[in-house]
Amino acid sequence: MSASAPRSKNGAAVASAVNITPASAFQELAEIRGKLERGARRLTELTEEDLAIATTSKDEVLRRDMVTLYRYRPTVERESPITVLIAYALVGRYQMIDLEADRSFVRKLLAQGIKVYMVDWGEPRRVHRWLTMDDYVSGYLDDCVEFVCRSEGIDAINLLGVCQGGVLSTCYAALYPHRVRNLVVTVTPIDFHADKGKPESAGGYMNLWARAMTAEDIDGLVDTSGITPGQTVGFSFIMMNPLGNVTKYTLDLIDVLEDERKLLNFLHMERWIADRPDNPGEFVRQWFKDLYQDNKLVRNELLLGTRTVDLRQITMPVLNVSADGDVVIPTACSRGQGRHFGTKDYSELTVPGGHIGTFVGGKAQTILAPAIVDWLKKRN
Amino acid sequence: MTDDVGSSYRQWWSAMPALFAALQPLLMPDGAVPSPGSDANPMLGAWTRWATPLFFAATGMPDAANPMQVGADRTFGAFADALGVRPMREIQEAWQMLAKAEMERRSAQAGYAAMLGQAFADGTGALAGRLEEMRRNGEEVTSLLAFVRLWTREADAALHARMQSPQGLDMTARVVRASTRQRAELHRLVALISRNVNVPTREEVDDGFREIQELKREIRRLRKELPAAKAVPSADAAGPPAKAASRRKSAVAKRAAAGDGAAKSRRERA
Repeated sequence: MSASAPRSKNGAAVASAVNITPASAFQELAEIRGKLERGARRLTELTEEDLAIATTSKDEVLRRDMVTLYRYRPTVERESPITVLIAYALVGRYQMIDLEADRSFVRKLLAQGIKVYMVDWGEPRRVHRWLTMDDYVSGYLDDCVEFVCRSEGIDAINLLGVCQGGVLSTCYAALYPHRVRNLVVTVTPIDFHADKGKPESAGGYMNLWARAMTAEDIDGLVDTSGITPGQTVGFSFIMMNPLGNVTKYTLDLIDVLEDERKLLNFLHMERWIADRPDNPGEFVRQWFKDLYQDNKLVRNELLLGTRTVDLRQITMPVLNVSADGDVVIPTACSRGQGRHFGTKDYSELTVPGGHIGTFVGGKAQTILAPAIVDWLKKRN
Repeated sequence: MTDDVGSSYRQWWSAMPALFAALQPLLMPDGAVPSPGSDANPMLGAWTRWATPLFFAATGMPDAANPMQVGADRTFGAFADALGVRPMREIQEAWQMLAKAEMERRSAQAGYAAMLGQAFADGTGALAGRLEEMRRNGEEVTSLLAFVRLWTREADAALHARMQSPQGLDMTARVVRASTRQRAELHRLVALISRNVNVPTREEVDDGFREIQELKREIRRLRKELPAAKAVPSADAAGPPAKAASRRKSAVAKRAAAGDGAAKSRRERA
């Protein structure tokens, strides 16, 4: 095939399928310019209050190093006896599940009378570079669980983990089953290799990337960075949707500039995205080597401190929530994991949307919180 | 290398008068300022008269051709090593290794950029295919933004395909390895310099942090072994839960109203 043949064919296709005249192009550009001007003016009028996220009232009740435990203030006069402790991921901030007043998973739980505690993992600094997964599970998370149990006068809590926080919660439930009444994991990878050989799992870039590295590569990364910068994590998320992340600040922004609600949604999300905490090196090392590379969690080989995490010890009820459009955690890795747990009461819920959309997406918002509350009420 | 050493020696020698001036109170209590070759201090004068030809006998000749220069380099180089100035040589070597690693990193990045370039070319080809399909279906793109969006969609798919291919993942791994090595070499260089100026190295600081963490683990273990200790309010607890609870009821209506108010005001503005 000659080089010129496809070019002329493509040229013909472009010529006949693209109907943009110089006049229409100039008119469109003028409209875009007008939108940008009005949008820029509006942006300068926004206040800090407009841009505030995670505004649901809460009290700091415990602090360990950079980790803080919050207790949200109730929004109804009569609270239910159900207490939920939420553990978010380390790679992002917990504010995601309380992003906006009308898109707040936390507020929806509070409105149902649930007592909500939240672990904020904080911002690890260089001194924290040796923190391991065990320090998080048997240290910080266990301290939080102990505190909640003591404060509420209960023996066991309802533990709700999100993504990485779901893995930590799963490990905790396996190591301290007597402390967990019910386990809820959301968009949580359990079988890190379940996406292998499944074309529909394309998009699990992190899985592919981690497996393309050797153990020595991970060691090198951790040894030279010490504490993994938040920007590195942010970049890996950008790589899951490289051009989409470019166009959202151009094409997509043009679209929302004149819609107050959408503009604020956009800016709130951007504020959350920009706040990426650093991650302790040893945690990152174990996360990638033991989980992404060696898939030790479902093999019951994951060693935390001196103890092995055995998922068969998870005998309490488990609710596993996954998102049908998740490209961060391929659904194959999060869904259908019941066989690994020791429980006889295993439920699954799939919500529409992506990884983050699970908590802020329009459709998911109407499904997730009511379903979890309903599930918990039946088991408390 | 020898040229550099010779040049350095000349600089050193020309700085001698200033050095002597600085040392003057020690050398010449009467206030006289000696200079190289001066007889004001007989011993110093004799030494400088003897030493000067060693360094400058071959003025005008290439330093490498000056055997005296080479000999001095060897002699005083070893002398410097004996005095602990050796890291300067290690630092020079570390610079070279860093430069090499940096070149490897750039090479890996160039390969990665080439892959991205190929992906964009794939995307453009896919865009042409999509337009052809649209033409057959009688569809049209009538706005600039729609055209750019169409291209973005096709290019994004092409990027995904390239980056998630075995070659793409291998290329990414190469960049990571090269970047890691470059950073490791940079750390080595900084560590050498740090040691040379008695500043704690990254490794030493990290060792300290590791010990702190191990001690914290030990404290945690001991705390859990002593159930009584748990009953004692922790010093770093933010406040008794009872206090938060007592505030809770009175604040319920107020907080709920405030939250709803904020949401309402945003909705109103929208």
